[in-house]
Amino acid sequence: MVVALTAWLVAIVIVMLVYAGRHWLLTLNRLLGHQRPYMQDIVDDDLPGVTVLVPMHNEEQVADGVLTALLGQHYPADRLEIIPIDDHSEDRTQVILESYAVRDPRIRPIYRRGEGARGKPAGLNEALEAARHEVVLVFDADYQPPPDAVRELALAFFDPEVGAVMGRVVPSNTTSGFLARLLDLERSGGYQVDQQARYSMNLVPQYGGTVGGFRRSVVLSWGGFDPYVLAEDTDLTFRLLVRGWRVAYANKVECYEEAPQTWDARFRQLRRWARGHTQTMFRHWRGVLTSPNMTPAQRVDGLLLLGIYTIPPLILAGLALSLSLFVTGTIPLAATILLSFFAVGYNAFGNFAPFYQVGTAGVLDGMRERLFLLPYLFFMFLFNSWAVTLGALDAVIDVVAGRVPTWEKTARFRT
Amino acid sequence: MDVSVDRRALPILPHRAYRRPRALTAGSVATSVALIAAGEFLVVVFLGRLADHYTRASAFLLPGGTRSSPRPFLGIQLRPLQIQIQPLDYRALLVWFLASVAIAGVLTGTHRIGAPGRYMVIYNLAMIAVSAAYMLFAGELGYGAEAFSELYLRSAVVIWLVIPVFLGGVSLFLPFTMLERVLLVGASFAYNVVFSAVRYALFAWILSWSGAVTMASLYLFFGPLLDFVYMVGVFSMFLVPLSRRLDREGPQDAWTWL
Repeated sequence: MVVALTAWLVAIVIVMLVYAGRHWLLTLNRLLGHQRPYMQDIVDDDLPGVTVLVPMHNEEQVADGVLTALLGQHYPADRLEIIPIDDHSEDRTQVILESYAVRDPRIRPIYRRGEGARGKPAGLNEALEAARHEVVLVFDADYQPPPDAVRELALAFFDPEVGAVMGRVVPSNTTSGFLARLLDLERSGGYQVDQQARYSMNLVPQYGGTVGGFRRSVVLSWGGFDPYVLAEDTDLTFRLLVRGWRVAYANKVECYEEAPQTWDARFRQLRRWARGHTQTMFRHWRGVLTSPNMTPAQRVDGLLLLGIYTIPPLILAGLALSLSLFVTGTIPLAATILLSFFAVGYNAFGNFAPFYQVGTAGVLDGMRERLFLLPYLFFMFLFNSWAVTLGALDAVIDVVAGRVPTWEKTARFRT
Repeated sequence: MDVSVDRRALPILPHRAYRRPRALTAGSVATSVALIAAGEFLVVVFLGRLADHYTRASAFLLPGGTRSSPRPFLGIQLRPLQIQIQPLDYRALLVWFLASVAIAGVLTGTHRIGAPGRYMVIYNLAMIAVSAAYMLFAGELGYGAEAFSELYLRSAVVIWLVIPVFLGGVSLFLPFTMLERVLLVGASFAYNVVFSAVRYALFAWILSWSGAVTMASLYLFFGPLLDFVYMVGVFSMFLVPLSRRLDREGPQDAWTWL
């Protein structure tokens, strides 16, 4: 029994060593390797038509901000339409959208009411039917895209191999409190190093569901998004990859978001991400293994990316095993110390960046004093691990019990 | 490139999207590796003497503290602290178990403490409850006072061996100066030795009145896990001046593009 538990603990440590190696390589690439720039050589006035979708549910606090930012885009007015998707809002969202639609013909809201599937993927499907253009960009309602964001992101589709594009997410509310500042560090590691390195190394940059876009005809060709998948972004990424499309990453296209400001909101967000991502893992791992359109390196990175939400449950399992082995007096020293390292190293589950990756990103970003917060990420590790573990369990129960997941949006804090 | 222009005086800082530190060269990395190897060599050479002074200091800090006879580990002789653990009868164990479960239950329902802090307290209470339950059924934990003391000391020794490689490794490709690298590893090491020696005595003192129920929590949460947290803390203290320096130096001197 003790031998089996020890072997299990060692197996967990080996899996985490593989992930540590992956992040170490990504960090080295960002520091030492040639960086792949994003479409900076394309300057063209003949820009494609773009439809911007903005999923909304009770967004009266933030609707003005995102619509004003989108109307201020440096993009030909006759080639831009904006479709806010009001998904069963019960506040003043509809009133706000109506007032904008009257003022500017580029805004064509959709009001989803009555029966039918709810949530972001279902809303996107309805909007895709109504969209007029091939290039579709998505911004969540709490985002504030800078004036050139739409132009920059649309450029990616001049590359015929690109099926989706992703920009960089930067929290705007870092003065609101400790949590938002910690999330700023996490995001920095996840985008500045992780996504950029994966793009440079031709691995698997991920479309993140906001500050990004895709080809309308491609998504419609497979019947749109599955309304019962919570991580429609990861699902889209892997559907594209196994079919031979590529995801472009635009590190220079920075877009401000409102990071969660309460632990409760963060917990729900993480749990939803973990549930959706695990659903996607169940769907796509075989496709990643067998697709003739992916390189061996992309297969490995794709599988590691799909499995990344299994790390927190593994850490919790490792801690439980350590306790079992401790009370029986048989704890293996090296494995325990390594497990401790991983518990500290993998505390930033939001974007899965270990501390050395976050630290490197912070230096590249010129974060200065913000980097003092690095060790405080440790204090989130049990919180993060528990939220992600519950989310992964939700996904397993969904599969086993045939349960249909329901969408839950992240709380807004702007006043 | 036009060498007649003072590149440090160029006013535009490279955009953060694609800049990389310029200072890293094969030579500087090789020097850093040699430095790490030298640090590791010193730790290995002085490991026995360090462990001896370390346990002496802990014994000095612990009221009535004494050391046990030498026992071999990784080629050196360790003399762990002699720890007197408070024996606990079944009533005391029941109290520990019920109190831990009750406090954890109360904390689960309260939002007055921030969620991360709450989760950590509950995690430690869970370890105490599991230990108490195990002792109620099995009579005692797998580790006695002597074995725990030796486990703690062995962990400390392994962590000393890990520090130069670990911190040297994570900082290897960041453009620290040689002095900063030495200070980063040295400060972490010195802090670890001092902090760990004080903690060793503190653990022994806690176990002398709490009994073995807190042993798992002390080792698994406040032991090696915490060591890595302050290593990351020391690392961050060196990152901040590095970040400042890179932004202060002339644009083309500190950064390279793509």
